[in-house]
Amino acid sequence: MKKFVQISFTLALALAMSIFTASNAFSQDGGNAAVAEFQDGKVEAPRGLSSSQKAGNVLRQLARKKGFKVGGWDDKKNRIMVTTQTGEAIDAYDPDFLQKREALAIEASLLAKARIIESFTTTASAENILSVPGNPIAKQLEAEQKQIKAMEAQSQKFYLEAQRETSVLLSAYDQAQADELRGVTYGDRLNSLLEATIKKLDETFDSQQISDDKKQRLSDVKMRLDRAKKIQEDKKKLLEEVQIKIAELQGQVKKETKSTMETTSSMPLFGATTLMQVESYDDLRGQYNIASLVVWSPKLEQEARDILLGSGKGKPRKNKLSIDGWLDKQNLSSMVGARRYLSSDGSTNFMGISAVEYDPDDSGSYSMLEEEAILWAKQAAVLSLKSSVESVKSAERLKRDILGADGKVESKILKDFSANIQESVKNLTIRGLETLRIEETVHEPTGKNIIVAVANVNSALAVKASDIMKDIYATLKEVNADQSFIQGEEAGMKAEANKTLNNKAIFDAGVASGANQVASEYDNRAADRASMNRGQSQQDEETVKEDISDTSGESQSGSWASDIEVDDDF
Amino acid sequence: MSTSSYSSVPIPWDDLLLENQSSLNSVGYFVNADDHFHYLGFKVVQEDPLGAEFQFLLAFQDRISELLVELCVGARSSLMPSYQFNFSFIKNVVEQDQGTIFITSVSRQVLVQEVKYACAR
Repeated sequence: MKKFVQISFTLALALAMSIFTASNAFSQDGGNAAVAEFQDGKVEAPRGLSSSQKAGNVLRQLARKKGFKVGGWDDKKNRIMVTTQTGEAIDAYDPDFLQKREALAIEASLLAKARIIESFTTTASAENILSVPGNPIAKQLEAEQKQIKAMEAQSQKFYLEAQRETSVLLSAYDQAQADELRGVTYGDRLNSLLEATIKKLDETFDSQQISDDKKQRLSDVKMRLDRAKKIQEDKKKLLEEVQIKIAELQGQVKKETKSTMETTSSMPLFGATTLMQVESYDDLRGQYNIASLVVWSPKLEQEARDILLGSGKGKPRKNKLSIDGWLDKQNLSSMVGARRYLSSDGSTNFMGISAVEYDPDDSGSYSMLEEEAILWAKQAAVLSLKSSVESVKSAERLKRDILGADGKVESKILKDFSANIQESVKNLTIRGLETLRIEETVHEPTGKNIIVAVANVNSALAVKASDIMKDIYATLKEVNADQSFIQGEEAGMKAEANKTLNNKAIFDAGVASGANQVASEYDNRAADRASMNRGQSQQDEETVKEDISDTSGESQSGSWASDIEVDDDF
Repeated sequence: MSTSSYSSVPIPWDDLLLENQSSLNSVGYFVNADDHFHYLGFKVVQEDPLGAEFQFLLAFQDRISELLVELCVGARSSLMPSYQFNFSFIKNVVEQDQGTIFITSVSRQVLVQEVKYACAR
């Protein structure tokens, strides 16, 4: 079975990082309630799994314990929850472990989103085709068969004529043998008997005075025999060619039944997020698995909509944690992908979490890796908020009835499968997208050092964005005006100054005045010249001493802050 | 074909799962119907989710083809040797420890429409 799976992922974002909100008090129900309960710590995230349990099993157990209805639309709760598990064999020392982990998490999320949209509507296209190819073998060999029959007839004709003529010639010398020859039917014995008889006649004719007519007749017999032999050889060759052709034709399809099935589903999804996630690793077999429980509900969509439309700031929630407090309670090392949390300040937070491996001894690449993690985290956050999800899956089965070498027909089944699931966002301007946290930690399954980035689309920031941007642009307008004035002022000054530039009369007057001043001053200083130049060497010495005391010449480990005291009342 | 409903809303997938669990466990699928919908369920023992999807698509194709054959016979015709159909359906996927369950609902009306194209007169 050829299995081709393509999971493509496109993203084109115009990330206008700003801020914003609006009032929105949610009654937590359906998807929200489940998300909230889990995120408030009423359902514990699994940690320290046994290697015998795969992530999917653990996640399903957790969902069962919690009483979640997972698999399709939950009419009572007005939500849909879906679990998916992906995995592959990855060695713990694989330098791309974290990248593969991230890709598997994305795959799990994509599969889950595909299942969510497929539960609303899916279009199936299918076809069954039965085909019986024409041009059977017998028809393809018709010409050869005719030729072989003609050759056989011609050959037989020559043999029989040779037989008759030889019998007549021989009867004058050996009637018994001539009768024997006449009585032999067409076949191998006739050939050998003919050859033996002709040889005998040749010897007889050589030893006796024989008429030219008889010699000519014997010569003709020989020629007929040679022609017959030649035709037989040609026929043999042709038969061999036919055999090859038959062998080639064997294996040809006699009948084919093709079934194809394709399902497509496509729709935008707002607010789908990961509620729970479990990763498992069996270091003996190198098997890594990650399972995600993805949830979507109309309430989650409403939250996403409020953020996108700039009206998503709810009332403070006294029983909730702050977003930072919530993050403090999470095991970020085992989280990847989208999350959502309603925090105590009333804001809705659609988060994205991503991790990259880093080398603590390579500080040079740290900032780049950090940026990479941030970017992927933002991607997860944005795609959770809004994405166009499309799923195309197709299967094909081909049953072929093939003519085997033994002439029997046997069936072969060929299968093919392809899947293309994608989610994308294009040219979406999002306000309130921020990098919430960067944390260095250790990925527990592999012991790798990782940088975890948490990005967030915050509803409060999204609402404030308009006001903040208004202030920023008003400030810019003021600065632009001031800059214009300064530029004009300077231009005016330069223009006025240029009026006396390179003026010959003023120049000459200046020359005369300067010369006079210098001459006068020189004369005035004549009495003091003897006492000048004292104290110069002492001053130089002090400068050198100061320079030496500033240079230590040794390095040391540690950390330093350049900004010890800053104003933070902005 | 035991389930009956007089509503144009399909039976919830979890009810179908509960009702047909024994068929799923014994033969790996069920085909059911009410006045408005055909319900087809499949159990696939395959850990890889995409592999499971593949098995589902083939099984779904087979059962749908059988359904169409039945409908063609009912319409005193036969399924064309070469035909193509195109219709919408609803699909729910339930991950279980023993395998993946696919539960689908297809509108009766939709399949009746398909008969026009799939059956030879």
